[in-house]
Amino acid sequence: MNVGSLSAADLTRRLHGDGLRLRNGPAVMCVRSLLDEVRDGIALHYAGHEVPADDSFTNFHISVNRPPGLRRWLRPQVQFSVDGELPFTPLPGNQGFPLFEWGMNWCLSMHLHRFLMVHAAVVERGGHALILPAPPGSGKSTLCAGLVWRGWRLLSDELTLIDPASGRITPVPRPVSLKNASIEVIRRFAPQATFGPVVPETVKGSIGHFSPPPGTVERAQDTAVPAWVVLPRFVAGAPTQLKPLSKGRALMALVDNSFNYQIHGAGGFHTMAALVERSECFEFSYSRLEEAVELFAEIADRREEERADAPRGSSA
Amino acid sequence: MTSPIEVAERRWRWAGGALHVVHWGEEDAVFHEPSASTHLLDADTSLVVSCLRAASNPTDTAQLWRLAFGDEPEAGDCQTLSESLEGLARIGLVTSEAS
Repeated sequence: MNVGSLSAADLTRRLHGDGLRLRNGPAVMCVRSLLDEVRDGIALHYAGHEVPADDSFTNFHISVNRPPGLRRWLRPQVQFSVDGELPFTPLPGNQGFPLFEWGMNWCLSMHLHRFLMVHAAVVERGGHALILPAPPGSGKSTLCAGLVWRGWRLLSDELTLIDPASGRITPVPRPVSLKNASIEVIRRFAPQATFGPVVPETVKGSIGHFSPPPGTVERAQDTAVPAWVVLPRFVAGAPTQLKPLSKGRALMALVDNSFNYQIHGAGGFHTMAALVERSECFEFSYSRLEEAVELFAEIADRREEERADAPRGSSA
Repeated sequence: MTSPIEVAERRWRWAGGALHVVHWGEEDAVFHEPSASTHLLDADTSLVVSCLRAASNPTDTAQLWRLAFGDEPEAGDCQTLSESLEGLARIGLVTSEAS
């Protein structure tokens, strides 16, 4: 069963009642909310996501609701709770769905420690993962959005989950969050993308989400092998430029952008080192998304050709 | 800035603990277990670290130069090495003491 198979009444009943079980990659959330915008956002963006049975193990019990008291009516606010705790200060009342998304990011990045987690977008083509670690404002999500509408599979626009045992990347396909001018860029680039309402004046500016592209959520169990580590940077007016990055610097970038590297100790170091060892590493600057996407298509095609040319039994 | 006299008077010692090293051409990534810290070292600095790890006693700067690079330090070499060692001390990989 998935969210899209629930009637509007059933979805509302679950969110208002004992909670909607919602699978997010390797985690199951139990979501409660009385807010229409959260229900509508889930109905729109999570239609393909699995709804596990009510008695299945649940990693997080979360809610997004109005705080009690006068703030229900006077300049209304929304607050996020997880397992009874309130990790954030309340936000203005129109930010229910962005808060839901940020809260889920927080839950995953603070608790899924069986994975080595990096703040990075990650997409896949031909079984190979392209990891884009970068701080906010670097153009990472815009590039990720462009790629997933041109043949790459979305694994995550925010969170790269590395399994230390296998070295593979576990997908967490969720709505892709875009900010400010990027929203219009992707609307033009991918008119087929399903956008929800744009929420203005958040702490990050205007925020818009588009649903995971078709086929993405259905393949949420398909892990991928790291193949490229690319540090992206959007520079207005800059030419599209891909420069080799040393493996050492690539490793340090992954470490710097990791949420929980310190928890994994020496094992985390060797997991990161192995990932970098098997990956091509680059710095990338761009201003024209179409050119950027074409360049990464060429890189992926080259990898496919190399694999096809490789002697049988060897791995590309 | 460290004076030449101070350079000559200091001795250096490995901070202790396990060090995991991955070599990539001219740079080494290292993970120091006691401090749970990760660093990127150039080949020369990594060589100096390996000499200090192998040394059983604190080593002065000139001697460390000889151990690492196999020749006598020339003018400015000890100053340069000392500055590198100070960087390593700041990140907790080595300690220093007066001779």
